[in-house]
This record gives sequence, C-alpha cells and structure tokens, in this order.
Amino acid sequence: MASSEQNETRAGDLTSLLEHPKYKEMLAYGFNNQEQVHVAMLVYLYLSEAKQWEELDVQPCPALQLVTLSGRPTQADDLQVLVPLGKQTELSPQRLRDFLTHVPLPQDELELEEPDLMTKRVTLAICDTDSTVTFYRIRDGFVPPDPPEIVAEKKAKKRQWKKRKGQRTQH
Amino acid sequence: MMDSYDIAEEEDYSPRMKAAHLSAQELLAHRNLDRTVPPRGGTKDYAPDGSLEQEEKLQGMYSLYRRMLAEERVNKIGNLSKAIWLEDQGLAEVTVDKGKFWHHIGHSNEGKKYLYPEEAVFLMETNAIEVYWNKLPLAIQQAYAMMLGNRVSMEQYQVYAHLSRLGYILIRHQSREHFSWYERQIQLDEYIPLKQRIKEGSSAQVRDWFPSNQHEEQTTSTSGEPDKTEEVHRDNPARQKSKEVKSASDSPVEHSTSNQTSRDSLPKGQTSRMEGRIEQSVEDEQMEIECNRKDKTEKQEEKGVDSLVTSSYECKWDFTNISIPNVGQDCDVSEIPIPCAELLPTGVQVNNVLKINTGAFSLNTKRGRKGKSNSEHLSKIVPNLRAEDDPRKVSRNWMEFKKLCGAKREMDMSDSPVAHLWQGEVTPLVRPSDATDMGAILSRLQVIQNISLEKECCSLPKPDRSLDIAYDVFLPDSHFKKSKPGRPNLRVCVQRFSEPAPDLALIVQLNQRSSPVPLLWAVVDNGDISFYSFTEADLPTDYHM
Amino acid sequence: MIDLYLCHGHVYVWNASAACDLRERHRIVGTFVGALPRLPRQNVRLGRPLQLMPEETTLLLNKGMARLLDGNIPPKTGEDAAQAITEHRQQSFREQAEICKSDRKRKLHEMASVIAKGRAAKRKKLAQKEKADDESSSSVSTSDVISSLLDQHGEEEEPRLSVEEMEELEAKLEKTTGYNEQAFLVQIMTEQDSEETQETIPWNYPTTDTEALRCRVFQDLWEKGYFLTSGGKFGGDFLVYPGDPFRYHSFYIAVCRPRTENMEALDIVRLGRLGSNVKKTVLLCSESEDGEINYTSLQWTGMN
Repeated sequence: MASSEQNETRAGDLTSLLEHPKYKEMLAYGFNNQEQVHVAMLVYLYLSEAKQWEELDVQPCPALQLVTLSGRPTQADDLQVLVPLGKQTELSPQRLRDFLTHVPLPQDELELEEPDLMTKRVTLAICDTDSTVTFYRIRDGFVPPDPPEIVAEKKAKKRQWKKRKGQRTQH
Repeated sequence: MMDSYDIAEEEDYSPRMKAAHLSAQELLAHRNLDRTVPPRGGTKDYAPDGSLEQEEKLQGMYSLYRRMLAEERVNKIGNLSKAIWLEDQGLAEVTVDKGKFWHHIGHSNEGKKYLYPEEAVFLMETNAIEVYWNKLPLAIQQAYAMMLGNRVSMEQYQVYAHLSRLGYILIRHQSREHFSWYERQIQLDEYIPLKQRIKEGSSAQVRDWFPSNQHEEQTTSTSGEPDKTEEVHRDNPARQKSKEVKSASDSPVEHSTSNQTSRDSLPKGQTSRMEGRIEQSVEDEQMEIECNRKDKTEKQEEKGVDSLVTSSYECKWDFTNISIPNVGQDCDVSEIPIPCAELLPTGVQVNNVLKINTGAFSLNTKRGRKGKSNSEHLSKIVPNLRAEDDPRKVSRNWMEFKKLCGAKREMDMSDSPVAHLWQGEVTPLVRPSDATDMGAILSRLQVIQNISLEKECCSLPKPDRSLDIAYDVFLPDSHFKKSKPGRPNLRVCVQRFSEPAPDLALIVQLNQRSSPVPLLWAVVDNGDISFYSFTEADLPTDYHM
Repeated sequence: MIDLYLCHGHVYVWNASAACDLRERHRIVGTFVGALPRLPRQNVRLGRPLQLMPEETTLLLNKGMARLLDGNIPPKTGEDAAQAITEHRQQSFREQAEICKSDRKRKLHEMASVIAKGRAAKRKKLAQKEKADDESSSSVSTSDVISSLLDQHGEEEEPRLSVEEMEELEAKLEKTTGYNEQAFLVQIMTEQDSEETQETIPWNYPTTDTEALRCRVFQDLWEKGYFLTSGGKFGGDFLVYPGDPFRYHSFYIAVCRPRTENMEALDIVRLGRLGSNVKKTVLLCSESEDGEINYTSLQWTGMN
C-alpha cells in the first residue's frame, strides 16, 4: 500500500518523467498496470542514463500485460530481455515460467542460431521503492554456476572495465 | 608381527551384511588401529569429467571409508565401565566405574551412580562403557532404540553428542527460575545450592542483601534526568550519604534502622520474629522492589503489602533539614555530620565529624571530568530556586525532588522570548535549557524509546508453544565440578529443522530464562546440526563529539 | 536388499557395508551421526549409524532397493541368550590368551639370539671381573691364560641358547602369562544381530503436499543422476551435486515451491542472494499441471 502511494506522489513530482516520450509509449500499450509501467520507466531511465546500455528498447507483452525492456550492457554483450517488477509484485513459480514462455524477443534476435535458447532466458529487474534496481536472471532448466576459470576470467574483465571507465571519466 | 596384522586386517574388513562379531584374532588386530582421521579428500573438483584421475581419487575415498566405517569398538575389559539399563526409571545405573568420565558425567542418588540415557549412549559410542539389559550387553543400535526416543529425543541426543565430542561438558539444564533475574546477573545463584533455595520457597532472604542497590538501579532508569551524582554514591567513601538518600526514598524514618538490621541478621539466615515491625518494613521494601522489577513472586498477594507501602509515603521529608554532604568537585574536603546513634550498627561509635577527601574522586581523571560537568550541569538546570517554591521543602523523597526541579524548569520557560513555541499542542522536543550537552539533547529527541524485551517482556503475548532449554554447556575445564558447576558458558535449545521457527515471545522468554548466559539454538536438519542465536541488539548512543 | 531400520521416526542404516553400497551404487548419501570408533571425540568424520532423509527412504523403498524394518524390537532375552554371550566371551578369551601366548613364544624365538648374546656378554664380564680380582691377589697363572684364550675363541662363534635354556625361558613365559581377565578385549557391538524372519513395516511418508513435492523433486533429480543432501544449512530444501559430494561442490540449492504459491519479488532477491553468496545456482522446483517437475534456474546477474 505504502509503496504505491509513494509511487504516485513521486510520479506527481517528476513531471519530466511523465512527459518522457518512452513513458507515453509505454502507457499507450494500454495495460491496466500503471505501477508496472512506472517501474519499467524507472528501470529504463536507470539503464539508459546511469548504465548507458546499448540498443535499449521497450516492448509490450500483451500475454502478460507487462512492459518489457531489451538491450545490451555493452556492444559486446548478448542482448538481454528484462521484466521490470516492483519489489512487492506477487510471483509464483508458474508466473516465472510464463515470463520464460511469453516475454517477446526483439526482431533481430530471430537471426540468432538458437532462438529457442534465447527465449528461455529472462532478466528480472526488481525495483525497490527507492528506485534501486537488482537484476536476477531466470532460465528454464539447469544452469550450473560458473566454473572457477570463468569466475576468475569475469573478475579480471570487471577489473579491466572499471579501470577503463575510470580513465574515461578522467578525460 | 606386522604380517599377521595385515592379514588380519584384510579379513576383518571384508564386507559382511551380518552384525560383525569379531573373532579373537580380529579383536587383537584392533589394538593396532590407525587412530587418525582421513583428510577431507583434497580440493574438490568443479564437476566430474570422466577422467581416470577423478575416478581413482573417488575410489580411494570409497575404500578408505569402507575400511573406516566397518571398524568396531574394542576395549580391554579392565578399561570398560559397566552399567545396567533401568527401563522403568529411564536411567542407567553404573555398577563398575573405570573411566574418568564420572568426573563430569552422571549423578548419584542414595549412594548409587546413575547416567541419563544420552550420557550412557554417548559413553557407549566413545567406547567407555558396556550397558547391560537383562544380562545382555546392548549394541548401540539397541541402545538407540531402547534408551533414546521417548525421554530424550534423537535430536536432543545428537546435539548432546555433537557438543560432547567437541569436548564441552554438558549437563541437563538446571532451571534458574528460583533465582531472581538480579541474582543471576551478579552470579549469586552459583553460591546458593538449588536445593536449599527450593526449600526456602522464596528468595527474600538473599535479596535483602541488596535492597538499596536495586532501588538505585530503578531510580536511575526511571528518571529521565542524567543524574550522575548517583554514580558517585556507589563509591564506598560516600556510602553514608547514599544510605541516607536511599532509605529516604524508600520508607519512613525507621527505615534506615531496618536496613541495618537486615544486614546484621542476615548471616543468621532468618530475621528474628521478635523484631516484627522492623522485619515487616524490610519486607515492604522487598515488595516494592519486586513490584518495580516485575518479578513474579506469589508472596506478593498473600500479604496485604500495598497498604503498608502507601502508608509509608505519608510522611514528608524536609530536605533542608537533612544535610547531604557535598562530595562534588568544588570543594576538596567535605564533612559529614555525626549520624544518629540509633542509625548505626550496634557496637559502632562515631565521635568526630567525618571528613572526606573528595579529591579522591578525581583520581580517575575521566570520572573527575564527568563529575565536574555534572555539577555545572546541575547548576544550570536548577538556576534560581525561590524559597517559597523550593522543591527541597515540598518534596517527600529524592525522586520527587528531581521531578519538581524538572517542573520548575518548565515553568521558567515563561520568561523566554521563544515561549510562544510551547503554547498549543505541538511543542518543540528540545528546550533551550536542555542544551547543556549533546547527550541531553539526543535523549530529548528520542521520541520512541528503546525497550529491552528481555527485561520488559510482560507486554508480549504468551509463546505459541512451550519449549525448555535442553542443556547447560561448559567449556572443557579440569577444575569442573558436577556438584558445583558454576555458571555455564552457554545454554542450548534443540529444535528440528522441520519445526516452525520460534516466535518472538518464545525467544524472549528463553533468553530471559538463560540470561546472562548466551542461549544457542541447535537446529537439527536430519543429522546436520547448525547453531543459531538470537541476541538483543543495543543501539549505541555515541555522542562524543 | 539393504535393511533400513525405523527408530523413533528416523531411518537408520547400521551395517557398514550397506551404508557404503548406498552411496557407491545408489548415490544415496545420508548423514553419519554416530561417533567414529577409531577416533570418537571429533566431528570431522562421523561413523555409523547412517541417518537417511525421509525423501531418501521413500526413494529407496519406491525403487525396491531397500526394505524397512522395525528398529524398536527389543533384543531376545532369557538365560539362554545371556548364557550364549557369556560362553562366546569365554571362548574368545581363551583364544585371545592362546594367540597372545603363541605371539610371545614367537617373539621369544625371534629374540633368542639377542638373549644369548646378552647372556654371553654377561658371562664374560663376570669372568673378567673374577680375573681382575684374581690378579689383584696373585700373580698370573696358567689357568688365566687358558680362559682368556677360550674367551677369544668364544667371541668368534655366534652365541646360542641351549635347548635347556630355551625350555627354561618358555616355562617362565608360561608362568608370567597369567589368565588376567581384565586384559582381555571385548567388543561393544554397533549393529544388533539381525533377525532372519523380521517382517517389513510400512513407511508413511509423504503425508502432506509439501512433503510430497519434496519427494517428487528428490526422486526426479536423483533420476537425472545427481547426488543430493539436505539443504537446510543453505536455506533450501536440497543441495544438488554433479557427482559424489566427497569430490565435488554442489551446483544447486533446490527450493521446492508449489506451482501456484505466490511469493514477493523480494523473495526472488532473497533466494538469489542466498545462492550467489555461495557460488551456487538456486533451482526453483515445482510440479507442472501434467505432473512433470519444472526447474527454473535463478542467478544474480552481477549487475547493480
């Protein structure tokens, strides 16, 4: 209850957010789920402004009555499909599985060799009332944790990326 | 020699599905058992890759385990104690005591030595005792079935064995409900045998030792004013003053006498009935403390205490006539007048005015500074008392005195240029007069008071189920005595993983019962034991700025 | 067929070989809960009995790999049983005494040459001492010369115990090896003697929907080739291992939830956190409408 109220008041304050063309686009899908649209907008802004994702876009998912997002963290990364959710959204295992089956893919994804594999992989963007977002990936079936080599590799990559980012901000 | 051992070993550990009765040869071979525990098997791999190397490592572990798990418990008769399982009593009676275990395990009753089921089974498992039932030595499997389960749950035994294997000494929880919370805090419960306490039926006698102290605690905690002078009273040189103040706060004039009497008569155990009235006032004090402390004592209702307590308040105290010695920092030497002879213990004579070197208080520089700031503080909050409404003249006790001082401060606001802020329903939390130090302001701003659930749990509903602490746990200690175990280092509750988590009321209730000893929750998940504890967090109010 | 004993609501395997078979052949791990005989006072490695999870028991019984027996049947009592045990012990004691005696005899023979050497040295010392005494009293005699010559000769030859000496020592050994009952070894049995004719008893698990789901998930994962242990310590239902837990870390924390049970998105965060902190994937397990088990992997993306 409290969170939705808060959202409304914040929405009232942030008129710029309501004026945003993407927000209007999301509303135009006509889903009776304003709170989710709001969360989707917050996540969209976060990814585009703070994280500077590439190819970030919005898709409607009529089957689930949800606004979904897609994009790449960097040009080199795989395309990710996101479902923005408020932290108190009710989810059942069945609902999670519905995400995996119904969340749409952007057009160019069809060119991929294994479109089936891609459809069964969705990132949940769970948004707290203070608009912090956490990302959890769900996938059908068994996804083993990264083997130690990959973990080490990822760590190294991250370190490098941070370094580069640091240099970029310096310039 | 070595050869024969090796052969025997191989024969020993061949798989068998029947219970392994060892032959004489095998028994003797067990003398040369490897007493080491194999390592965890090296670093684990990420996933099976079908390699021969992995397979060999795994098979190595398997054969090691086959051998190790098949080993039996073998001991010399001369080293084994013996016990008989008494099914109806649920106890094992020790008939031959050979081991060192009696030092910390078992109990005696009417000259006989007994073991609880968990103790007996544990000793069997550690190869220390043979337990007989109907002249048959029991197998551990039979012991599990016959001795555990009903009186001692499997989970409870697993926790007992787990901690005992680690070397802790465990005794069944000895309830401390016969001792007050306060007695437990100061470890008095360790010096009074439980049996004696139960016989007494009440803890009154022992509590008489600390009436003033208890009340002191009470006043400091109830009054919002940071009154550090109380702290000074605790020091011995200021004892005289403290006594006067305390007795003043508690009951009528003769109270001090009663205080003394109780001290005097205590070693005798019972206060003489001759001193009927005096003793009663001791009781009064007792009761008052108990009311305040919310300790449940059945006695409270039996005697019509309430009337006595209230009547004691009718007498007013004129603080102008009571000279409270100045032990503050502003003078080096303070004088204490000769106390009335009837207030002194018999045989004590005071001829001269007592002089106290108050400089002694500044030995500890930190406290000295505190004391100083307090005297300044006091002078600020009690600015100009006029004679007619001098709180000292109208208040009946110290607490009231301080309250009145507070009330005066509020009245004084009327002269302030910001007085209008205090008109109406909503008023500022902090008054200008509060701005003496950071602590005072912070305490004013604390609208929602923290409560200690452990001390004030009466407000909580009844726990949804009853559960008791299972064991008192002691660290391994060669000086441990069963008869006088002292304060345990830990206490443990046992809980099944599949059971619902305990509700707050239950946690608080058990923590309170265990206080001040930490209470652990042993959660048993199908033989896997993990320990958890719930501790009340004290939020620090650090205002050293 | 492996015997499982139901005792006060828990299922135990008491036979060492059966416990090992369960793991090596059937991928059923269980938990050892008893003290290890060779080193009982530690918790690093425990010994028999092996306690089984109810799900493990259900699986073993479903698959016909084990049978469930009542673990609460009291041992057979009576004079006969007691007598049998006493006799067995006495017999064992006699054998132990015999083995010890022959052991010592063997040792004696092994040591014979050493003893002989020692004795010879002693004799020589004595002789030398006598000689020294003689020397101090009188001048060199012919007998001394002869004896010293003999000594030199004797040193060259390996000293040996005579048959008489050997017999004497053996007799001594016989005397000192008394029948001291306190020194005999006895066994505290771990496993009880099994009854040949014991009947199996029914297993009443699962009884609730939650239990049923756990059993279904356990069996399904087991059938996929995984090893499973209880997952309480990691806040889940099971830990799922790609191979024997001896050698591999677990991959998944299995969390069983009914298909339609609602959780908050925050619960997803909680579960995901739980897994990412220990480098494991959280596996949400639920039963689909057609009775299949659906698995959904949940992982933290590493993004903030």
